Amino acid sequence: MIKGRPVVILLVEDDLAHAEIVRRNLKDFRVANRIVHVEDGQAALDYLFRRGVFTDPNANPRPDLVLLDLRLPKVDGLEVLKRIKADEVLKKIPTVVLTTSNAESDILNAYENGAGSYLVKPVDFEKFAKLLESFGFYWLAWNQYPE
Amino acid sequence: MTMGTIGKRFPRKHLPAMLLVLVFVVVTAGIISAGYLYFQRYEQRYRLEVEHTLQAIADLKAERLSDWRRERLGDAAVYFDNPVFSRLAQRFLEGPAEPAARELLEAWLGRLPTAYAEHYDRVFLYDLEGVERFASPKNEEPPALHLREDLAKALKEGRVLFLDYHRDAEDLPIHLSVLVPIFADEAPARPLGALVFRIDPANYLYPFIVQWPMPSQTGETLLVRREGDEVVFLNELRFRKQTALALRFPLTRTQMPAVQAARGFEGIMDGVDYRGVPVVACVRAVPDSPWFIVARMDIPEVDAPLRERLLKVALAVAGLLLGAAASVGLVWRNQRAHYYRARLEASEALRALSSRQEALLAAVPDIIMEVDRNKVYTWANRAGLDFFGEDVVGKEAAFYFEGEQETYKSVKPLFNGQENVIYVESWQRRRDGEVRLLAWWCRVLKDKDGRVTGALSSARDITEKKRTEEALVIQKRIGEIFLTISGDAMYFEVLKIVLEALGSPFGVFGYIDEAGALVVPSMTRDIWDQCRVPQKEIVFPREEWGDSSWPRAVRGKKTNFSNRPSDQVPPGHVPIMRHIALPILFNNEVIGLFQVANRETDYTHEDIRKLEEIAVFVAPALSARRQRQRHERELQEKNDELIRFTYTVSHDLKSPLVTIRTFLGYLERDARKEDGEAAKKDLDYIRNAVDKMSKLLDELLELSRIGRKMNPPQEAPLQEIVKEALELVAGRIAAEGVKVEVTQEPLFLYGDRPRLVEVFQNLVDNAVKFMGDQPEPRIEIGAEPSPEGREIVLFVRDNGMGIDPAYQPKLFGLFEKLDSGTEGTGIGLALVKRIVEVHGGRIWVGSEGPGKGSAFRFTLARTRRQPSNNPGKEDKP
Repeated sequence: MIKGRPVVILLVEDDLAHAEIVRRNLKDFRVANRIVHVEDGQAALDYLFRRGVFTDPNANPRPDLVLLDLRLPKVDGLEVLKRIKADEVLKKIPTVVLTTSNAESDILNAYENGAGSYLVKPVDFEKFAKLLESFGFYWLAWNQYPE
Repeated sequence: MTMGTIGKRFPRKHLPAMLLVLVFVVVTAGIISAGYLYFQRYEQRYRLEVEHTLQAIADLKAERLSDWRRERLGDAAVYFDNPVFSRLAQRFLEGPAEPAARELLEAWLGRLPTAYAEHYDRVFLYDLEGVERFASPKNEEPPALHLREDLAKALKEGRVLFLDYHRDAEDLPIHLSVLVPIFADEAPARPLGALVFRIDPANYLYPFIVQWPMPSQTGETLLVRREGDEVVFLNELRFRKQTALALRFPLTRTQMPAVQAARGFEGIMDGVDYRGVPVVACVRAVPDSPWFIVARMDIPEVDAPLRERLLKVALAVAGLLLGAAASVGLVWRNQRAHYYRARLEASEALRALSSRQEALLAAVPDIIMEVDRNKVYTWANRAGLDFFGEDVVGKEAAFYFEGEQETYKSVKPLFNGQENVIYVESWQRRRDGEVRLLAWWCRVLKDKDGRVTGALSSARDITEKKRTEEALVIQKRIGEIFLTISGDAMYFEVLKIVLEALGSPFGVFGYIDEAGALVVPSMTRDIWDQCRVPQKEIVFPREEWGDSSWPRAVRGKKTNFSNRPSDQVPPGHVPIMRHIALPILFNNEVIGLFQVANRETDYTHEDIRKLEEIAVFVAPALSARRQRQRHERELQEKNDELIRFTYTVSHDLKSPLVTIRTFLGYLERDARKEDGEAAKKDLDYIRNAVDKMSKLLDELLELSRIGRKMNPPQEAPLQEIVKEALELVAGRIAAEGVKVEVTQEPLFLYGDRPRLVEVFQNLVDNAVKFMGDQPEPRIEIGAEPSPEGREIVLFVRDNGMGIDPAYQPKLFGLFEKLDSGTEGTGIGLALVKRIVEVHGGRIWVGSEGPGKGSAFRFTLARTRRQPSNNPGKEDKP
């Protein structure tokens, strides 16, 4: 589907340890060749809408997937989700909620606001890989991934 | 026996005044009649007496005159046909002058004028020639010419002639004469001459006639004779002289007694005498003579005793009348005295009775009024006078009606006689101008023929009762609404009732919220449609109130009302023609507002009273509802906070657990691969996660202690607390080169001192942390009054990077960090908030935005500008 260019994943995660976990897992599955990590909701929105330090479209390509934590500093993950889904272009980007909360209200809110999937940490990365496949990512097509 | 019984049963009755007057009139009439009759009889008798006297005089005089004449003729008879004398006369007249004859003659005749001087003044003898041959007295007198004719007549007729009053000549005295013819004593008889006895009436006749047998001032007798058509007076009169033969009156003057006498009348008559004076007279003819005698008296003299008598009678009558009047008066007075005494007794009895009734009427608190057929007040009791005024009697009932009344219509069946009693309620104007509702019971009054004459009505002021009833109905309805309707619909429903009670089309029912703003959940729907004010928000912040009627009412805690159009309405607002703005007070605090407006008639104090009554009723309910809502909201907030807390805690505690678990997996894998480098990295992640978790748990514990475990509260100056806090963060302040300014205003905080220190410590620390790249970092700590001036607001203000308004709601959340890069767990501000809240305060943040600095403001209960009387250190734990 998206051939000839690396898949860009936007990871929104304030916990650095958790970000490391995601990064390692994606590396294990050789999925992404580019992961953009931001630590709060505001930065995520700035990246997506190309504001602030993210105004250069070449340096900041539009992600193909957003991995979003709900509990974030400054702007909540849910709020970020709402903004993404409110934008005509951005709403097409599959967004997966990755969170420690298994609160029913969080799950419902996420799906109601257009979350593609809701995953509770710690994530079973086998399932995670299948999930990505269902979004149309052919992970094994790219053998090489840069660090 | 019977009389006695009657007398006892019917005590002596008093003669009525009319009867007394009648008696008096009758007595008066009797006395006057008696007087009159007596006088009349007396007068008659007196007149008769007078008449008798006059008659007697007249008769006597006539008789005497007749006798006198006869005597005179008798005297003549001595010489007439007396042969002795005839011979002597013959001898004297025809014989030679012989003295003896003269002597003899002298003897016969010479003594007569002497002896009968009163009768004869002269005796003389004429011969046939008419020559006086002898005279006694012997004085010479001119011869009386008429005597010759009379002589001839006497000789011819051969009888004695009585010559009536006559004058011998014009200027000679009046005489009467007896002419005796003398014949010679021979056959046939031969005339010799005549003997004349001349009579001077002045000697006897005049005095005799004039003579009146009793004392009288006017009594007089007249002697008259008829000469042709005249009557001639023959004597000298009492009141006029030279009348004999001179005074004459024609026979036509019939009112004169003299004339009547000449005309042959005899008897008593009233007439007018020669002087023109009214007289009473008795007229008589003197027998054997041409004479008439008139005895007369002036009527005034006759009447003089009558007048006297009349006066006496009149006096007597008057005396009697006076006596009668006095008697009647006495009786009347007696009776009046009796009457008044009786009346006094009666009136005292009546007064006793009526004062009892007065007392009864006065004791009745109800108004009692009487009206006539035309509904004009004719009587009022004390309560009536007090209500309507002292001048109510004479005024029409409708004069006191207030507003449109159907009262007359209601009482119509009473006045046309169909009903006897009617109950009617009517608004009436009291003397002080206040309008009161009276409940009337009207009872018809009829005369003995059954005609309606008016009505007697009693009235009771039921204004308060009515008001209470109405108020109760309103309160019941409002109470039900408060109980059954939750939410803002309640305000709308209550307002509906208020508008109905005040008869107003528009209104407002709102409450004052915690921030002091007026919240109006109830604005009349009609207004929303008609009002063109762009801003129709139902919250009116205090700063935007302005100074129109209702804000003044709320601020002044006092009702405002006006019946004039307001000029303070915003453009497009429905024009306010008249209104009432009434603050709803509870515990002397304004907790809400009622406003009604634009009724068609003016608002009165009565309306305000009504609205105030509603407000008084509504206030506690409204306050309770507001408090309940506040509690509900607080409870909700607490609950939300708890949920948030649980959520946060579960999330934030789970995060390191997820890290530990995942990295344990990596560690295991790396250990199997014997990749020491990787394993060391894995262990670092695990260690960090454990540290973080431990810190989180410590802070959670700390947070949970706030409000649970307290140090004894105490009062301390702000400056002391701030100083303590600054010492704790002194290193960092110095490192960043931040300048801290603390107010010197005296301020005293009260509470858990170490916790209060913690508040300032956290806030200052926070400010220093987010100073950004500010070249002159500065922190200001101070206080200012709240916008309403009700509280003291403390602040910690910096000129650092500021806070995006979008992030402000999250700021005080547990474990919230604006920047994941900064140190700390994000519990600091949550802790501050908790401490402030435990101390009865609020905290909020203000910032113009990123780069413009921020200000944390908070309140603490019991913050003062001067120390309290109980210094904090003495406070008991």
